[in-house]
Amino acid sequence: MRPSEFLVTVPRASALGLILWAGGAVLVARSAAGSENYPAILDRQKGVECPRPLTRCLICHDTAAGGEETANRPFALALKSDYGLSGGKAGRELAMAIQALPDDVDTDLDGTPDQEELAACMNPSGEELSEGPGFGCSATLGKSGAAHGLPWGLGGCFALLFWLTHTLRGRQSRRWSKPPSDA
Amino acid sequence: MRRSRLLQGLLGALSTSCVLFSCSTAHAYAWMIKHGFAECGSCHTDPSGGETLTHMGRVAADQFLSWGGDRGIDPRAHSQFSFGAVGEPSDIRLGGSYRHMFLYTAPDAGTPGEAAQFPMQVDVYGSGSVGDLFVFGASLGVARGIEGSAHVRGAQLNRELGQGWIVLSRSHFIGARLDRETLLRAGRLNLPFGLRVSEHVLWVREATRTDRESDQQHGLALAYTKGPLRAEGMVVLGNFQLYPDRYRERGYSASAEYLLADTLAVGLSSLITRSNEDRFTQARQAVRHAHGMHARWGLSPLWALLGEADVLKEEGRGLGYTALVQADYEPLRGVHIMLTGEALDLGALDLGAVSPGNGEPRVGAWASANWHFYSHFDLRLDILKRRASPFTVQAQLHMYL
Repeated sequence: MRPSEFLVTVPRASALGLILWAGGAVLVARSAAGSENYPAILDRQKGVECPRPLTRCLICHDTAAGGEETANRPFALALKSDYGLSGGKAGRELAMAIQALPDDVDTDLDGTPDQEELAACMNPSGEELSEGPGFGCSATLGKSGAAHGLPWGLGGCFALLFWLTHTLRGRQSRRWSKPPSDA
Repeated sequence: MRRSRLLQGLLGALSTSCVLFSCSTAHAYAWMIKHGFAECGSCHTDPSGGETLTHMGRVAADQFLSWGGDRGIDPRAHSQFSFGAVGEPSDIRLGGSYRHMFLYTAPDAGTPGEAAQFPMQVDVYGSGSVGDLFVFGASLGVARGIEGSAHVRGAQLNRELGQGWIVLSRSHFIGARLDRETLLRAGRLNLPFGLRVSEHVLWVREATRTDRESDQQHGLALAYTKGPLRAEGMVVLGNFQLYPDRYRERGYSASAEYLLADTLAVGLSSLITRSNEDRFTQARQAVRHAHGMHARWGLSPLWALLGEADVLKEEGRGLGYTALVQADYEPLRGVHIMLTGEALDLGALDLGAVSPGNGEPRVGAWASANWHFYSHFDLRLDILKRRASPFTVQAQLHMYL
């Protein structure tokens, strides 16, 4: 069978496979559960809803991506050393450690106790965290004041490079195709 | 006779793919070098690899990848897009991918065990060409309930906060073929760096932030392939699917690979970016370096070895490194047994104690089995143990259109 003949082959079993694939993907995606959301556990404990939960990962972790061996910030170290947090994946353990944390503990010595900082969406590990990135399409550039569209910028660079390359290649090919001069 | 027809079919598909799309590099399955597929771009339409398959890629998947496929017979009809139910237009290639993950973390140091299952990828993608000159491509996917995940959200299109459905585009680009060897592309692209593997949680991909899951960035990339050399350089303009602008990284990422023999390739990669504020660590004026080398070696049709070693430097840390060695053994067609060793030290934190991975070496080992049990389907099982992490078992079912 030539490869082109595949394109006209429509076996019933294949159509059924395609439908199962698409249907299965949507059904399973609907029932899926994500991994535990630790900033949400902090919020639940304090009855608040803080914005940009990913930023709040930095209360405990070196990186908003989280992960093992990254919970090295002062508040996490305090919870691990004194309030029963083992450092493993255990949302319940985190909730219990927050419950066990006395009201007057101030890990970062900034004058506001940790429990109050958590309730106020602040950072008990030290310097206040910035808002963190938002996600989704945005083509706004910097502080320059002007908002430019990424597609225009990229398109412009692309056109310029394309034109430059073609011009240079055109010159090269003209040079190569030039007949040798008579000696 | 059969062999000659197969050869004709393969050559036909290869030449069609090369005409339709630039032939360059891709490492969805970097171990395919053991079959002599060093230029993976002949199987994928994106020269930086992964996802959308060329006609040649469909044939190769059936002939070399799947259980039950046979190099001696014609490729099966259902190996084509949508199992052969829907034909692709001649200048368009389409695909889709669904990965479902089952994850088990064993009890560790008093922490109870945990089991979870979730769809890791629900994507459709495609690419095409306009005449001989222009190419384009895009991917579109969905995910839900990912509020706590920092990674996948980098590819988010809508401004949903993360609790509901989000729409993703991992890559989208337009491009122009400047000549037979050179492809210029603009858009959201995989960063050219190191080994292009599907395991996005490997430390070499995570620590360098160059995975195919959501680490793509917007920019301009020039891919060049000629003879034994293939290279791609990208001017990184930032990820415009996150905001505000201060979190976007600008700089470059580049990778070059040279084929020393039919089944042995060595490469170098380099990346330097700068952002006003690091999106993961909130470090200010954050300059990030990653520089390294990699190698792929097909020892025989059964064995392949992959390796990568990178030096890292991030704002707020000392010098670090990450490394990977992976051996892939295929005792039966479509059955892969893999052993992977990893090392990571991100560098000591400027303000913090030394710990594994942060000024001290952290090592990990994977034992994996991957069974491509039918055309378009594979099952994978990974058993992981990393220093200072609990024992983890992951199983995934992958289906592609």
